[in-house]
Amino acid sequence: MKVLYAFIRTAFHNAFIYRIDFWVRLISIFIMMYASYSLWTILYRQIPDAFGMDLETMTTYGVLGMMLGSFVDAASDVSYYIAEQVRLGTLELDLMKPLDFIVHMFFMNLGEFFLLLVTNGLPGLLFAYLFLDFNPPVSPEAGLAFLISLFLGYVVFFGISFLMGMLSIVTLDIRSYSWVFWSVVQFASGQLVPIWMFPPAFAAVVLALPFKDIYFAPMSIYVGAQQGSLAEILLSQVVWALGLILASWLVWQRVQRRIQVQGG
Amino acid sequence: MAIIEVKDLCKSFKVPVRKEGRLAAVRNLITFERTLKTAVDCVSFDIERGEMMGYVGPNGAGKSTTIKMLTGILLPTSGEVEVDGLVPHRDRKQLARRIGVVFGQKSQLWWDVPVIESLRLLKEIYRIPTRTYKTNMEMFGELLDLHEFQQTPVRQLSLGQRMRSDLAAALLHNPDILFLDEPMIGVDVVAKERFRTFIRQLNRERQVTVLLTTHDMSDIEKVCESLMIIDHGRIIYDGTIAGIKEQFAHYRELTVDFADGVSEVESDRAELIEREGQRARFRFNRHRVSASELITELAGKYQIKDISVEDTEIEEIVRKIYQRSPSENGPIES
Amino acid sequence: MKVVRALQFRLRRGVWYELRLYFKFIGIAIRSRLQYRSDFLFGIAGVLILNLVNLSLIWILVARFQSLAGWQYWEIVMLYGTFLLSHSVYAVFFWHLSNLEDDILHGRFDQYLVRPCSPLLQFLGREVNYMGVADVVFATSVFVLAYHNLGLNWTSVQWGFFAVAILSGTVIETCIVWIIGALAFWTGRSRAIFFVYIRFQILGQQYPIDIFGMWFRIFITGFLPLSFMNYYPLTILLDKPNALGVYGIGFLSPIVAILLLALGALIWRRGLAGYTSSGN
Repeated sequence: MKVLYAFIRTAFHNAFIYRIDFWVRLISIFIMMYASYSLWTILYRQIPDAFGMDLETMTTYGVLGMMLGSFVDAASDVSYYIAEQVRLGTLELDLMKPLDFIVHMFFMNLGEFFLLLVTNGLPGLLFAYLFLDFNPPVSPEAGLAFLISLFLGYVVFFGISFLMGMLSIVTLDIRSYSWVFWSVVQFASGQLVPIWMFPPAFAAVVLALPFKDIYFAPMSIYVGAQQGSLAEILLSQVVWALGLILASWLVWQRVQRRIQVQGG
Repeated sequence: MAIIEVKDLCKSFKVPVRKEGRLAAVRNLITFERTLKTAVDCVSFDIERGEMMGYVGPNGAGKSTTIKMLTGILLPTSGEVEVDGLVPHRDRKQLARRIGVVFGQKSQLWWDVPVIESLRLLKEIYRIPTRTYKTNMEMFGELLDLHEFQQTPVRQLSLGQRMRSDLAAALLHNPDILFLDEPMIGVDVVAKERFRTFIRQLNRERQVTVLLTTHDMSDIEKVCESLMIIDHGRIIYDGTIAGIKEQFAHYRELTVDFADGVSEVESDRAELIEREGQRARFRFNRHRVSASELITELAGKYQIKDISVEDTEIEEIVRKIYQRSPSENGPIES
Repeated sequence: MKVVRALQFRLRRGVWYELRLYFKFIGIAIRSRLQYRSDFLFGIAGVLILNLVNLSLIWILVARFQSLAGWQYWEIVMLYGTFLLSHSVYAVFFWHLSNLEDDILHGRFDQYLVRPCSPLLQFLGREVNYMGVADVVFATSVFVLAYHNLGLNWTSVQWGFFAVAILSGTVIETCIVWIIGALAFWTGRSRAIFFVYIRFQILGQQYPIDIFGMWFRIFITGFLPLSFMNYYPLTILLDKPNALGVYGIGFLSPIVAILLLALGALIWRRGLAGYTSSGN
């Protein structure tokens, strides 16, 4: 816990150094929340039956997606960090740190995650309640399950992002693909358009992938539109989270050996 | 007339202040305070045409900042600079044709293509006449062994080879002045020696003015005639290398091998600092006693087999100068 | 007087000299890139995945709602193809503008300043991104498909306007990224803001902006003028009402492009001046 605290403090300090980033990010979240809200309102007016649920649930889902998008994405900084170390040839230095690399990365990003939860999430929530017809969780239990599911979603995202970072050892410049990465995540995680709107064939594919556990799982629990029982969803998240962390660990072991043998 | 003239040159930067205490992180996000940090503090110096000047100082003393102002990268806060009759910041592009710069830590060559491609491109950038280009390439081929690796991409070169390529790149357009900012980090001894010879020859044949910053004092000793030391943004020594020894090296050392059977040794005018077997080392103040007097004294008292006198290393002198506290660091003219 | 002389000097030294250098830089950049083949394959795969995902999302929405605010599927595909055409040119030659912070942070920018040619040119000529080539191919196919399916038959004037719109689109995107990149002169890094920009682009670029509320339409018209890249010119070419209800906004695309170029140049100059006085 002490380690985590240290990382949170560092995250705060970094936020201070880049305060312009902070403000731009915050305001952009407001704008995106509004965009999503207005999008569903307008489309609802066009064909009300197309949703299969009432407007407020839909807009709550959309707005929540934009709000969470910003800080769960903090995890994607992992891939960027790793790519940067690879490019500068300093990945070996991380081998020498006393902390296991994956644990190190995880805590570093968890610190950022909590920071954004407070500095972006709370103002976002306030904005949503005040201006955007935002619903509270459907029930207190749903609220609690949402928080757990959100954390699990973060872990899943971390795993995917870590593996993505490992890719930068094979190919040089993954920054060019951040666009691709985000589009895929936004699409397959149901962050922008909920998966229940997908045609069945598409939905089947997307539900078989881990991305849905990042956003769709917690968000559908929040609005009470989850596909299947609560236990099933959380179990799926736990399984994917553990699986991805294990995969990350295995890949990292190989990479580590490669670095030790070839000297980077 | 001096080729580089610097008068009362200052450079200060604004750096953000970080608040401490409760809720500091939050307050830091809202307010914005900055404080002034002086990197170069009113320095003045001249460098003559054809001079080879060493420029040393601890990390963060203001060396790089000075060089950046001399090359036009940085705008001075106040003071005057003139390089080859130009004001660097104002006439940056014009000046660029007359100077060559090597930043040791990063190569200025194109990373992924053979060295020769970079040099060909530089020929275009500086609009170097083909004849000059050919002459220079021959010279570099000979003196820097450039042809050994000119077909290799820069990223595959050794540090020494890379430094040689960078040097060639900086000299291709026959600059009047060469700025070398820590050019030899990580370069092996052989390559270093060759570099020093090359610079000396260049200076002799083409009267190129050289300003060299380095952490290795032997570079300075072997290449330069004069030396500037900067610390905390102020020049604390500006003069010849012989002069610095004169001024700061008060002590010299005498190593004596005594004949077998000599046990206790001592001297009235020198301090015994080490004794190992039949060998003893003495330290003496050069202003109070000369080496020959000391030798005469010792030879009169004991039987001596061999003798050698050493100066204090310049490295040692400079280290001592750094170690003096900032308040003592008044400028010292020689 | 001073300005005139400076201008004359510039002309004499030649725009040609700098332009010729730029092409030489690009030549070297292409040869550098060819050394990394795996990057190329990953790049192609990435471009394919990205575009298929984007088109799928459009398709899913349209399958649900039949049309989006009066735009049919192939019209939206054309919107996407038009954006992608502009974007691909940017992607090949100017992608690395967003990485300016790297050059500043690692002191590479200093080197541009000790050479006798434009720092901007040296920076721009440093890289080409040939996965953008895949974008060009994909964009063209998508556009041709949409054109065919919509049964369009443009006159040469319309084609001319389309060409201008594509070019303006490239300039607009390049300038936005240029300005964001130049922020690094002050803040030392611009990545986070660039990422924010990408998010807006993913959200707003591929759809007719009529599906968003008025404030967002204004935002993406006036503050982050992405809709001038594809949406507004196409409302004219497809003869559709536009989201602000003011006829002919689409004709403003080239003007927006020029304004952004001027703004970019201004910010760049100030940034460069700031850089030389702070040095980071």
